[in-house]
Amino acid sequence: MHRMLHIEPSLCTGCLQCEMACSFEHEGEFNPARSRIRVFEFEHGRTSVPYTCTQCVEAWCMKACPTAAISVDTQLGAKLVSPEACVGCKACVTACPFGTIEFNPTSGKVDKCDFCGGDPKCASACPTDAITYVDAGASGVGRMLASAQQAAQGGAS
Amino acid sequence: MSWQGKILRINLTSGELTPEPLNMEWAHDYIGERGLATKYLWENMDPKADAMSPENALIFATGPLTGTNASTSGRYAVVTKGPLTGAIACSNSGGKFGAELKYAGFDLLLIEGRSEKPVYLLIEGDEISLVSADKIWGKTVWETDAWIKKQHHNPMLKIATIGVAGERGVRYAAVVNDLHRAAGRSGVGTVMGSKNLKAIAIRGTGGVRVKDPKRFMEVTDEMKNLLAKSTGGLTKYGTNAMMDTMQEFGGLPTNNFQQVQFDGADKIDAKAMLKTDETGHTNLLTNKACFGCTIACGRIAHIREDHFTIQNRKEYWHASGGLEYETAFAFGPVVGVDDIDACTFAGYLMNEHGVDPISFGVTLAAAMELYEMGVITTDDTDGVELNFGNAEALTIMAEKTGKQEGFGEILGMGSRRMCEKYGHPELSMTVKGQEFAGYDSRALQGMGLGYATGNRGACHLKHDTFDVDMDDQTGEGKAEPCKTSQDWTAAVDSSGLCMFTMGAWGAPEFAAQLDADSEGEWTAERLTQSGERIWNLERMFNLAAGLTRADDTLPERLLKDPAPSGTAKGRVNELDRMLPEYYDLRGWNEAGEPTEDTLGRLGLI
Amino acid sequence: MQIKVRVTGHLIDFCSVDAVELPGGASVDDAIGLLGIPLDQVGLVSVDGLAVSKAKRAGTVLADGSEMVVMAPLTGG
Repeated sequence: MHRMLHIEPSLCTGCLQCEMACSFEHEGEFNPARSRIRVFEFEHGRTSVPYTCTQCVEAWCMKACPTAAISVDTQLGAKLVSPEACVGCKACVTACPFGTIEFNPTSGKVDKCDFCGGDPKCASACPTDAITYVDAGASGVGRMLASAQQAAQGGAS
Repeated sequence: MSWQGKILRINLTSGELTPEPLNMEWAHDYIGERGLATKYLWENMDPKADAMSPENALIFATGPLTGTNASTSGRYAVVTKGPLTGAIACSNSGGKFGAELKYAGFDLLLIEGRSEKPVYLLIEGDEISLVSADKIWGKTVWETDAWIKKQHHNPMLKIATIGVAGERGVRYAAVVNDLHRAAGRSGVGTVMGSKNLKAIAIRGTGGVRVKDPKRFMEVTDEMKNLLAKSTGGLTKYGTNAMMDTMQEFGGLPTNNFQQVQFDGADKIDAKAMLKTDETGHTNLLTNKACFGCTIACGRIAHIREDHFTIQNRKEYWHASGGLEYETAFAFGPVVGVDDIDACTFAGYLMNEHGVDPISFGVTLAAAMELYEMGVITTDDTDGVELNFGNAEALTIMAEKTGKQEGFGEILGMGSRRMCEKYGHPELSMTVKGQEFAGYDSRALQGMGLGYATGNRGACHLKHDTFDVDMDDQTGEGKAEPCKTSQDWTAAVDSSGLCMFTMGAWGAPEFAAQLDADSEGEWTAERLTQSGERIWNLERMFNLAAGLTRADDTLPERLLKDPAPSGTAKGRVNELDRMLPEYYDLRGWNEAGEPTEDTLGRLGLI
Repeated sequence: MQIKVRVTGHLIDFCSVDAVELPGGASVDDAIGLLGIPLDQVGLVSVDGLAVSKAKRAGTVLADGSEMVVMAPLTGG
């Protein structure tokens, strides 16, 4: 099943547990600057929005890479960076319209979300279910359900 | 491991920036944050030095758990000699700044001297510099935050700054980080201003590693689950859920502590914040977490756009930090105001200008009492009628204090200095010159003892006697829980975690997290003893600064005038009964000085 | 008999009524139990404005028309 990280900003409190879980999984340390998921705040914290790679099917980063260092995990749908093949040219960083593939000055390679091999730690660390790992073919169901419920209640009153 | 092992010494007089190894012996004895900063202060300045002089040191410190994924791991402390009290000042804050300091590779910033011209400290990865603050001196907290991020093209910078209040010597100016979190109390922002240091801006790109990663992840996971079981109310209602409890209990200081219950409490309490009014406006928008926090007690609110405070000021038509219990108390009952939008706006102004809301509110309350007595008149107050309950007066004076205009300069002196100036020191609701928080000592006896013996002056956050105070309204048996919880709170305040976890986590739970995190063996006993050591070192600082037993007292109003209503009706605070028992338990002599035995036992000599 | 009830803080989540019907001789603890408020989440109870400590709750008998306030524990902050 193709899955995706479903993000519901209205549930996010901005605690950054996701950033710590991500960096711990990938770097063995707590380091939000190296997290593949980032939370942004707007209007003095009125909204907090987690943001990460959407795993485009036709991935611009992948197409831009001159060394074919980015490949598709056919089972999960994630785009994976091979550290052996990556030469740190940053063409993918320029190509990505979302900014979710990032150069790591320490390693000289690029980092991006890899779904943690099918168990994304950001989702399991989120205390409010603002980040969930769901069937990519049905990611809108939650909002449809909530909206339908509102319609049902509106109809009853 | 867990400590970064490095501090940064910043000499503002010479401009030297010197990284130094962290003194690990001190880290093991004083943990981090509050405790470690107290030790560094003790070793780096003369406690007799004037708080506003270059001889005072100003310390920002993280704890060993700051920046880890333990819940509530965003805390940092600011420790210095306080300009309000002449005693040690220690104020801690959440938000994201503390963790960022840790990620920049420093456990602690030790700031000395005074810069000739206004500067800010910039730490971007491994590049550290002092930058001219000419263009932001005079700007608000919010303007400064935006300006620095823009100037350095770095929206990821986390910024702690002072407002105009700190620049111009308001005795209770705050250090505000991340727009609306604050090391609010005891004038730590005033000291920063006296050093000509406008802000500290940090982007940390390093990581924090722990001693035993596998065990650490297991134990922090377990602790988060435990925490979630008991903090649902705090998440949903915030700390202001206590307002109606204090009202029913009769411990809600009203009109400068003349009464203990407030008729308008239900207009500004947690339920009022959730209520949608006839225009469809709801004060509370959402809750908000500090770094790493799975409770998220912070409130994000907004003000009605047609409210008198902001109807012609569109710059305030946005969300920001909303009322918590202490701000609701300080802009509500103690000044007799029941207008939720005015209270919320006063909160905005405190954050925007960098002012401690508690000290401001309680100082304004004393001014209102002076006004109603006729000691001061509209001639003194820039024409503003300073009656209790005047919401407009509250917001005008909040702004004047923040900007240091007119009568705001008098209010900026703090309650004790202001009441002395007008010849009525008895109206000052303070201990050691610092204003009370929102709990009346006649209803909460152990709280009174905690206030009286508080090392930074009146403070509700350095001990925890709530349970025993609610269950029994006499002074009996209060000295022991006060002393024990003071020690324990000192340990919690030194860990890097938030004291709002204390209901769910006791010493074994903290020790389990610290032991997986940090070098050495951490047990509940060791943590508790470290807390006692920290408390006593703070006391030694105060004694060396010239404070005495006579400073461990409460205003006569709380010792002589009985509570007029509530469940403690007719009671006064029984400090005379509690204090000798407390000194005895502490191992202090009758003068309130730690004995040789006590100092020896704690390794303080 | 009927008593008047108020609750404070988060206890509103357990109890939204303002009165409760009780059998004669019911104690404060009986009333709290009937209202569905967990005993460990009660800070203090007052009856007709007078504090009833934890130890005295089970032995304090309510009278018809009494006003009982169930207060949440204080947490600081």
